[in-house]
Amino acid sequence: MSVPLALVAEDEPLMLERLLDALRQVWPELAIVTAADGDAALDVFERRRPDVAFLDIRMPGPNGLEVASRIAGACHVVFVTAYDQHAIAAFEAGAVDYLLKPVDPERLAVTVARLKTRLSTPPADLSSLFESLARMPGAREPLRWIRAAVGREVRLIATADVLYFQADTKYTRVVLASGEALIKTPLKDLARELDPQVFWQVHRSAIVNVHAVAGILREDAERQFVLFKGRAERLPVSRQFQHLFRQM
Amino acid sequence: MAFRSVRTFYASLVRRHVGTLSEVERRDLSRFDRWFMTRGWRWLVGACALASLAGLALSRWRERISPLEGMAVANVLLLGILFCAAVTWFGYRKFHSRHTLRTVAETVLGGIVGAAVASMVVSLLQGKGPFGLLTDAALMASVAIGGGIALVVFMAIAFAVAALRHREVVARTAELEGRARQQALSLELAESRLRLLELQIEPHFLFNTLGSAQQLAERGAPDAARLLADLIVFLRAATPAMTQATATIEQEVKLAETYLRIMGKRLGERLQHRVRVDPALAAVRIPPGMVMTLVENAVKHGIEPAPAGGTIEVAAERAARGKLAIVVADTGRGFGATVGQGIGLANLRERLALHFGARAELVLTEAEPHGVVAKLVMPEKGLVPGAGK
Repeated sequence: MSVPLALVAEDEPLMLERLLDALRQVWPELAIVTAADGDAALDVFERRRPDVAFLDIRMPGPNGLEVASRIAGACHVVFVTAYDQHAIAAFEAGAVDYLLKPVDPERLAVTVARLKTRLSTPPADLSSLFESLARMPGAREPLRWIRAAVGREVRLIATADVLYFQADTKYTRVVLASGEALIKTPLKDLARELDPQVFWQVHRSAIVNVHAVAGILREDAERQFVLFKGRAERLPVSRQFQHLFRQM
Repeated sequence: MAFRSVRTFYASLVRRHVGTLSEVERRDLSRFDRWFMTRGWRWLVGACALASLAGLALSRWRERISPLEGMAVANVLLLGILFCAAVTWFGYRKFHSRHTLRTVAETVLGGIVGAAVASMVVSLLQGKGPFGLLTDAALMASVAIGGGIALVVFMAIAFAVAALRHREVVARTAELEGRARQQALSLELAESRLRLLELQIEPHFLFNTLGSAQQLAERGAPDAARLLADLIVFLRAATPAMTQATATIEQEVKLAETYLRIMGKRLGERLQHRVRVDPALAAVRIPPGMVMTLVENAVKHGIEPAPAGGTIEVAAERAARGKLAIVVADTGRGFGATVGQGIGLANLRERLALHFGARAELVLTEAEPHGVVAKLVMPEKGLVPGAGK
């Protein structure tokens, strides 16, 4: 068999050095190519088609999991991680091995022995493993920060500071107590991402922050307006949303 | 049947009134209600008994007044005063706001109507027909005078009680609000300390740092000792001796610098850093942990995800209008398409609001060509002990 080739992807230089030293100790005949981030790792994989990949999980660009999901069927993957309880449980269920950082040469020897026996067999397909891991980050949390343009700057604004969102011709206005900002996200996309307990859509073109609402003005049975604390403007509430304020 | 509808009517009146009370007053009212239902009523019975005795004594002293009349008058007076005081104590706003005039008018009218009804009842009882007594001018005059005096006395009691009650409610509300704010502050501080602790013992941080130190030591490089020393200083920051409610800007920036040196050693060329503190601001006290939060974000979300890395600058400088600004600027990735939940930032904002109200703010701006500038603006004097919002 030709000289086995390993891809080692690690973004911290000292940890990379450590892993390389340990590999040379335990697997001296292994040829190694390194990468410092996810994109470089994928690039190396395309060009050199390594037999084995040691992937750091946390690195810039696509992380170790994303890289592994793209190369798994064609390459034996070993994850290198400081300690990630979710990942460890998943790895134990899967066909791939893992190494804890900082790498201990004796533990690495075990991994290497395992890899050597596997080199002649096709690598495990880890697609199901990655699907379950990808779902793990937890339920989608409501939007807490938005990127918005304030004048010529781009700011990060806390949704808690927003009084209301109003659709304008091409943009959506983000109105705060301290001023205004603009975002390109259309109102219906925003409605899906914001916390429904805090942000109520009151009109086709407006979503308000209930904490900023001072009260409702009822001009007659048909027309309602939202009044804000400490501000003069009133936003109309369209008929289909008037039920929201019935208990007020 | 009628009793139930009276009860319902009374209940709706009470509900409407209770709706106008503040939280403090409502709690007082329900506490009084409970006390009265269990023990208070005995006091009332006792007071009525005493009043009846006084009434008897009065009738003994003045023959014109029969014992029954004496007792009735005494009890009516007693109940009247108690009722007046109670209603005022639990609804003092009627006597202490712009509705005062209306309340006085209502009371006078009530008094007149009450007196008229009472005299009609007495007149009926005496067999003179409903309006018999009304024709007795002398009696009416003395009733009017007596009633007038009684009205004035009741009014005086009401106003006095209302004033006392107002003062008490204001003081109690202020105290409760103060306590609530203190609790919110300590909760936020605890969360902030927890976050620092989590960062320090976070496996990725701890094991990568120790591993780097181990690698340097095996190489025989002198930086190993330096890295370990920085790590020790950084971990010490969470020990009880160091956790106070405030920290000086100098302490905070030094801690951030230690962290930046550690990360610099680990990331190598990818992280450079600079620190700039106006010497006049070094001793200003600020809430602890805020600078670290911003620097941690700059490293985690700005530099680490950027293949080319960047520079982080931490500065403390004077700003316009009596404020100071702490700026953490990085030339890393920028906000990115998906902004994290930024839980640390939410905690920071809440603590800023608790400590400074509207006098402080956090502004996050994207930098050109890439990166983020996080600016923390607060009063130049920082946290002054004892000063409120």
